[in-house]
Amino acid sequence: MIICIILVVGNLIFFKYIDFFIENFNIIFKSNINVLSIVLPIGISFYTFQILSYIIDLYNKKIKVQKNIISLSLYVSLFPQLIAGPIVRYETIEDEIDNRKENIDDIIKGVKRFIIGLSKKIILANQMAIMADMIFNNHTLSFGTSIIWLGVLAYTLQIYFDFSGYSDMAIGLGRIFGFHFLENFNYPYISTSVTEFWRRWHISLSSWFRDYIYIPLGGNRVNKIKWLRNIFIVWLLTGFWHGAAWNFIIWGLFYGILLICEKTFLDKILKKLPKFISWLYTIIIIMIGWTIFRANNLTELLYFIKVMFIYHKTDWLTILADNLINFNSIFFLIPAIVLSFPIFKKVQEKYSNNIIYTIIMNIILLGLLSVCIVYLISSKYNPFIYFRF
Amino acid sequence: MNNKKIKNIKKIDIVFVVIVLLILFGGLLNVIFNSDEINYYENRTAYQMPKINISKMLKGEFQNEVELSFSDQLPLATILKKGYNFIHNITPNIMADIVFRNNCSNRYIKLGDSTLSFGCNKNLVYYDSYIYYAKEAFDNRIKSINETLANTTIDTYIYYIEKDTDLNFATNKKTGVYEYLKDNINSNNIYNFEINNFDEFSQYFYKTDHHWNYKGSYKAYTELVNILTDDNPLVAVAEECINDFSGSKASFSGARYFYKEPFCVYKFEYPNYTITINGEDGKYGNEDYHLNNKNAEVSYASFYGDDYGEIIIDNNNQSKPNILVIGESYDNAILKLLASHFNKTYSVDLRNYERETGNKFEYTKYLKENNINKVLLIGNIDYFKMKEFNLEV
Repeated sequence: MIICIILVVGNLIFFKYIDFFIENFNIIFKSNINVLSIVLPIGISFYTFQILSYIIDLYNKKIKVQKNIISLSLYVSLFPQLIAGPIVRYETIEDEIDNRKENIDDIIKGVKRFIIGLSKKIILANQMAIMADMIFNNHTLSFGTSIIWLGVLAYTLQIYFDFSGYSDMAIGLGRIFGFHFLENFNYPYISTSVTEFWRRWHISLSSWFRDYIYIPLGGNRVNKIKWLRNIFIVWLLTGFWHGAAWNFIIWGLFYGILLICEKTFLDKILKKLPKFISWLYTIIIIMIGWTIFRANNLTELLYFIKVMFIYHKTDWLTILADNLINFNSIFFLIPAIVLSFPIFKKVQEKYSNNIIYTIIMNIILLGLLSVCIVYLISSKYNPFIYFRF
Repeated sequence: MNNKKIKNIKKIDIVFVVIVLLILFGGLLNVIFNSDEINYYENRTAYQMPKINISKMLKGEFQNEVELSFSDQLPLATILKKGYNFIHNITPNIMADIVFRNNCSNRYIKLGDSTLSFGCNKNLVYYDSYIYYAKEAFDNRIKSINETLANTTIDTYIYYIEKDTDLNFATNKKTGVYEYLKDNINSNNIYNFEINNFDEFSQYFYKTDHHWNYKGSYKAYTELVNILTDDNPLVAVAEECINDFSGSKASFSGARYFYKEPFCVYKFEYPNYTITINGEDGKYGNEDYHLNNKNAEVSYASFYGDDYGEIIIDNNNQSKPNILVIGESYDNAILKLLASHFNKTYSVDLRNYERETGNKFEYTKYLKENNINKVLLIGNIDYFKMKEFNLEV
């Protein structure tokens, strides 16, 4: 197992992190080693973790060995979730790899889920990206506190609808082919603590780290020093998994420290506070987290944090004159905020067996698909944030 | 829930899935089997579904071409794009009207991805463009022009057309492109169509098109007559406005209907010319048609004439010299005016000459064969940085 892990992780380190190590080695030791500039294979972080889960589960006899190389390859390279997750464990689809049965109910649900995911990505995430990119990539001294917060809010919504949209598409496509992947998001922005946020955000990743790193290290069933070490390691790796740059490491450690604070004393205080205050604390922390995550470099990060918390006037006229077209996206801000809360989930639960509701929903979904096609035809702006992971 | 209700919901959902599949596969089949060759809305050749090519696939080019072909060939693509562009442009226009109502003067306002306005009147402009953006291209052109000048004894005049790219309207600071050309081109016969502020620009150039308007082209013509001849310029007999039009800058927005302006012209009484276009007798421009059909759609090219490879305007007056004008679309508006001061006016657009005439343009040979007495090199900033305009001597 150790040899397999070394090979798989070594592959990830080589492709994803080698240049980061060389750059930092050069800085520390003032050497001049050339970076390799290797093109990062798409989805390497996702399928590496899938392979690792297979190897470890096999070693722990939680699953049976897959002797058919084609079936194993199907698991590793299953296209709906290959490039953008969720991280599907072998045990989740072990039976379905060889014995799945496609049926019309799954196809219907899969198609609907795919359209919802596509709409999240194309309509909401891409519009929020225009706003976020304008503020993060083109900021000048005209950009003050109010617009920086607007940019952070836009990015907060962008990353949620982008990643959860891709997860929805993966789950929907999988379902069409008879696979039942686990959910990856559960309305994370309604969380009232950071701990809860990480139970709702990128569930497949946080549960992977819990099961394959945190618990094997002893989890919380060790002395306090070791427990703190375990949390530190898990969040260092979580940050590093997201990208080979210092801001990702800082982002991971930021959450590690906050989780330690919550687990030791903050959680008790938060539970006593009104829910709205707890939610406000959580969403502000999350937004600061995304600022760390999105900043193009550490200097920019410090500048953003400073402007966010020390008032700096925004020259709105200059910004609007230079970026008027980008402010089209502002019309999507309110729908994006509303849809990040589980309002429609509740409506769906209440009326899912109603014929009129089904007809209306189907018309809405067809409308959304048409809007997506319009956007895809007319707009060239279609990057996917999580490709770099 | 009863079985009948479940069955009905399932039937509705199956219809839904069938419609989705029809949309997706109908579009795919249309892209593959019923593709258009020209995208009229975007005024270019339409992208076709590419043939599978592993090398292109590895570079990502194949995937891009597939996306582009879908964007051009999907059923109703043009209608969808028009709708998108309308919505995409309507909000910036409304927001600009509201936000900059009292703050529009002396300000650039970016109305779209490729749409920039200056001032309060939605006058579409380009940003100022400096030498350092394309220094190598400028230097190569200058070198080529100097080589041309060194290899001919014929009087050669250079006329640089300043426009929105030559100064910042907010500061009135000029980019210095003309001065750079003047300092580096080995000629004393270098002149410019001078623009010093936004008021001058808006007087001499269209609001929605990149060309000069009738007042700008006439001003340039009068300056050129003074430079090239001892004649008096032709005088307009009337000034008329035809239909509203939307020019190239408006087209870039994808929503031309937001940016319109009257197409006004001077009327002249030209001598009786004999005109040859790419070796065939022809008529250059449609001035009479547009003046008599004021509701017809009009554009700079349709009124004054296209960028043909070679246009020869014969004034049938052998007492006058022959001139060769090597330029681009800006000269279209002044060719027939200039021709009245020469025996034969040869206009060559090097972007199209070889393709349209089937002959390589050999400069020295052309001068000799056509007994050219004067040469005018005329164009805007692009003319002085694009290698397509280099003359081989």
